[in-house]
Amino acid sequence: MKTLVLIVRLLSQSLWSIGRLRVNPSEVLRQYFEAGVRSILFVSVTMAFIGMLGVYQTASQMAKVLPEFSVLGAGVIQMGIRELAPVMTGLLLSIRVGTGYAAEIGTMKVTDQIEAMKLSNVDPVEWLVVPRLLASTGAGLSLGVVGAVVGIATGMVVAYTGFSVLPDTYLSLRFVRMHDLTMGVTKCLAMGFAIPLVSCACGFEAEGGSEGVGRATTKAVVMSSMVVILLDAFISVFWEVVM
Amino acid sequence: MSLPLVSLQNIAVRYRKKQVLRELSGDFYAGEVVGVIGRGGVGKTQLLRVLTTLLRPNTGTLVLMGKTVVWWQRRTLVEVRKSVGLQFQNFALFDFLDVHHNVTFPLEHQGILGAEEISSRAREALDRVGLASAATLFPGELSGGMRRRVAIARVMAARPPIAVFDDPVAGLDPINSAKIMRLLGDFAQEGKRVVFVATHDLERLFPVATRLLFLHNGAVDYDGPTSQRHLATSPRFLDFVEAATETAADFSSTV
Amino acid sequence: MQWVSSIGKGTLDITELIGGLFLTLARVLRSLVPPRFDTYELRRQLYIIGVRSIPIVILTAFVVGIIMVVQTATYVHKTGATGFAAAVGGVAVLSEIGPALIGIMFSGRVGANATAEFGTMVVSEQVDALKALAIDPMRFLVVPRFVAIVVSLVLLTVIGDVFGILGGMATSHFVLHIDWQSFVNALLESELLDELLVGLIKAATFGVVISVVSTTYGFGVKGGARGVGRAVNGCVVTTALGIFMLDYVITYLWFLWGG
Repeated sequence: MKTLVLIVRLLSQSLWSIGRLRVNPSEVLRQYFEAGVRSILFVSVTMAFIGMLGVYQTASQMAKVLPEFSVLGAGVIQMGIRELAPVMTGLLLSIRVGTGYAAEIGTMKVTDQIEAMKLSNVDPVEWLVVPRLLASTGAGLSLGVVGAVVGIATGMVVAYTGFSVLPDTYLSLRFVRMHDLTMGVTKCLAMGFAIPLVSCACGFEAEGGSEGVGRATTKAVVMSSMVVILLDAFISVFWEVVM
Repeated sequence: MSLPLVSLQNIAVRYRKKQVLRELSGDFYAGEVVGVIGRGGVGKTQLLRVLTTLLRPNTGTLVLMGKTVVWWQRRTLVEVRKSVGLQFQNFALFDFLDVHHNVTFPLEHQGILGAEEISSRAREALDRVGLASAATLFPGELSGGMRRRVAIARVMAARPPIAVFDDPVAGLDPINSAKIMRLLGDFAQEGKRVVFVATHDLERLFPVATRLLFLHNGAVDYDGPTSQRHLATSPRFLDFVEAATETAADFSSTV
Repeated sequence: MQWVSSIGKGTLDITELIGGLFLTLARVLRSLVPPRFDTYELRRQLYIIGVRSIPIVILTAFVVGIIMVVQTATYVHKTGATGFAAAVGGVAVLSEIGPALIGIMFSGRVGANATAEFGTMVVSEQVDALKALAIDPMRFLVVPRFVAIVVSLVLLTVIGDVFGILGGMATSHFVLHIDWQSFVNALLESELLDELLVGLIKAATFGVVISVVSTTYGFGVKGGARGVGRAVNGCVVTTALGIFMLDYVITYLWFLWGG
């Protein structure tokens, strides 16, 4: 799979550039703004619905097994931090940012801007990939936090209106341990890191005008969402079994 | 006899089971204006890409400015690319920079000249292609013809010893076509440089080009001085040059 | 005061988008009654969209099944309810995670692809060419895909459910050391059929969303290669939003209905 080879190459070249501190801080900040701040609305609205959804589902499942809902909040919050928020924001990130990067770089590739850069001895990986890589990793974490907060908040509303769980009872960090926090944070960072590698690789492989860009963006969103889910599974299992 | 600026030795390129360039060889010297001509799809753009180190040939050697290009060695490529300029067929202008900065881009990253000098060269180049007033516009706001002229200015500002122009006048109106071709001719005269021009506009090419390189099916069918083109032995070349339209070669070629 | 005008512009953009979506939906539905569309194209799309998506759905569902069960492992130890792991793992996949995640993966593969294809056709003026030949792009291009998408997604969700449960079962057994029997028992005791039905209703709805959104964005492309990229981006974002919103609405209504 040519793409996988390219992804590994991009990874090693990026790490090399970062290691030698050949990084443009203002570009990283600009990319962070694009990826992290510009996505806040999308992530918040979607996580709001997911949060409400999550509480409904959990509550109706719990009703079959437990007599009352006092642990609903604690359970939802723990699950939110270790699983739901990271994977859902990861998916949303792969959707918004994954297609975005593939489209940007793909368009540049089919219009030969990448070749023009190479001719001027500007390294496309250093110029294009590294800032996005750093920005997206940071955005993965910050959006994960935003997503978790929004989801928990809307869940709290549903818990109260639908199941009469008081906010005090709901907002319980009883079940949350260090273990859960580290799991969630690792997931967010890992997903934020992986998505740009995959989608930039897809962008660099675009060829053939608008058709090529279309194909590259499609491939990017499919591959990066798959990577998000696989990373989620891997980290979840690893954390439970090993830690 | 001075050393050639560009030397091709048995360059061959294969792409997806198709032999795009076959065993091409040639030496090109400073002061030459080489017209690269041929039917569509015959390998012109690929040849130009090999010349500018953007396309790695499957076999053969490329020597630029006396240095043999070692394709896997980044240092050589970086060194050699400083002497080469290419005006891309599809312009390859950076969408995120305005016209002025598009033109200064190669010089800025060469790291040799100071900002003042770079800026004045850019302004001069834009002026020569007639786009001095468009300096603050972005590529997205320009017409196709204007974008091509910016791409040309980008090469000129850098003043490379090896300058390559892929389709500099396609779709331009007759007046601008003539102006640009003359400009390329002047540009070649100005320094010790070799200029390659790929185009279909033979009428305007002939007064400017000193040498013609006619490609057919990936190989060189004619390589000689423009002034002696009528003495060529290849019938394909003669047809092409005389723009004969009634021969059987018209649509039945393998292109 | 710049932000005021950008809020205003944003609102106008959103209303324009929603209007476009409903317009597309209306046109698709109108072309379905009477059902006169290209059946050859339908069969072709069913293969490309449906059959070719099977591997990715199986993989996603299986992995999600694993995740669900692993996550409930902590509760199993706390409350000693091994059946609980089964119940959550199995049922949640069926009624909730399954349709939504499969919908998202599907929208990536199919929705983005459709937008890209339609967009490229618009840019290369193939759509205009069709119209000039008096061929209705709606009947010819869009409706076969619409039917193929909805039908495929429903069937794929069933397949996904099966593999999700398998994934959950495998994890329960090998990683958490819960025996097969109690897992299967708990599964059978939960209201499987009900949850399956909701899941399918959701799948059908998501299919409609994916088709309508991708068509609207695809045909609205302006501006060459970069326009296509932007359209694909907009399509998947809007589809994701739509899927989760409707997911919530359907769950809420189902809950209200006493499901």
